[in-house]
Amino acid sequence: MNKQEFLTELKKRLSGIPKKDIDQTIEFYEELILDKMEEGQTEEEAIASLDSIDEIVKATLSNVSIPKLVKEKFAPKRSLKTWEIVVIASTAIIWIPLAIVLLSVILSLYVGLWSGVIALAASTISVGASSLIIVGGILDLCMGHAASGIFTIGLALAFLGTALLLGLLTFKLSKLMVVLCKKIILWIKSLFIKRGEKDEN
Amino acid sequence: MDIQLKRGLLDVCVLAAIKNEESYGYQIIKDMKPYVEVSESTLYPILRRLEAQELLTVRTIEYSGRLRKYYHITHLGLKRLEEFKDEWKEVISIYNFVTKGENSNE
Repeated sequence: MNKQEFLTELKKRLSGIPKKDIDQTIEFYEELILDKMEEGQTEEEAIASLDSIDEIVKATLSNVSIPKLVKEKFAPKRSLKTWEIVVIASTAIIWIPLAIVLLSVILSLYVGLWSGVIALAASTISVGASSLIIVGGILDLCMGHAASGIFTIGLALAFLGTALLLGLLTFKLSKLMVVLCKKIILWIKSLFIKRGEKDEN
Repeated sequence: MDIQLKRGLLDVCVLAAIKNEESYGYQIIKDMKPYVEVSESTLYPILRRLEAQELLTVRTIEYSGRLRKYYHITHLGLKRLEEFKDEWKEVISIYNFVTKGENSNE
């Protein structure tokens, strides 16, 4: 792939993000290729040493906010004609509720997932708190009730162990949630750019 | 290394690469290379982010018949580097605590 092919392909794959961002990205990679060539690399070598177009698209997308993408996608390229405004306004009774439903579904899914994590955290704390009965166990022991004292202490230790496991699970799960959210956001963003052909390399 | 940690460190590295004089994309990558490998597609979002945070400014200069973007550290950027040095003292002290007594056991 030569420089022109590389930049054209990159531009094509980025279409959908604001033009200013595309131009800046193209300028950045063009400058890099030229700098590498000036240092003695051939055009092909310089391009091969760069990350794949897929990687570049991913990195660029993660830097553009969703509202910006939505605006770019739906902002009319020309001013609307009167009849178009009438059509949009008169069908609003249909598409506004639809949009609200869609947004609420996404939001409730998100909240639902997180409340699972929060519930888990809460049970961690309550199970952990239950292990405080160890105090009762020790008191029992001191007062000479060996059997019930040891039983209570054992129970408290079991609670503590369970709390530790639950805590670990909560931590892992919330970490997973963060990763998942990032992936979903990237996926939503990728919906806004055109599907390009796969990289040939 | 933890991704968030590495991301923060790379931001600081890029600032360090331009702290003495302004520099351009490829030069920054080359200057960082002996210390930390950074790919072009990693550097680009960092530069944009630092620019948005006003830690650096960008200007386009004509260079041998073409345009090249130079990145110049701002006062805020220098302040960020100073803050990082202070933060790192804390990290070193934690590291010393974590590894305390390990050498004497060997």
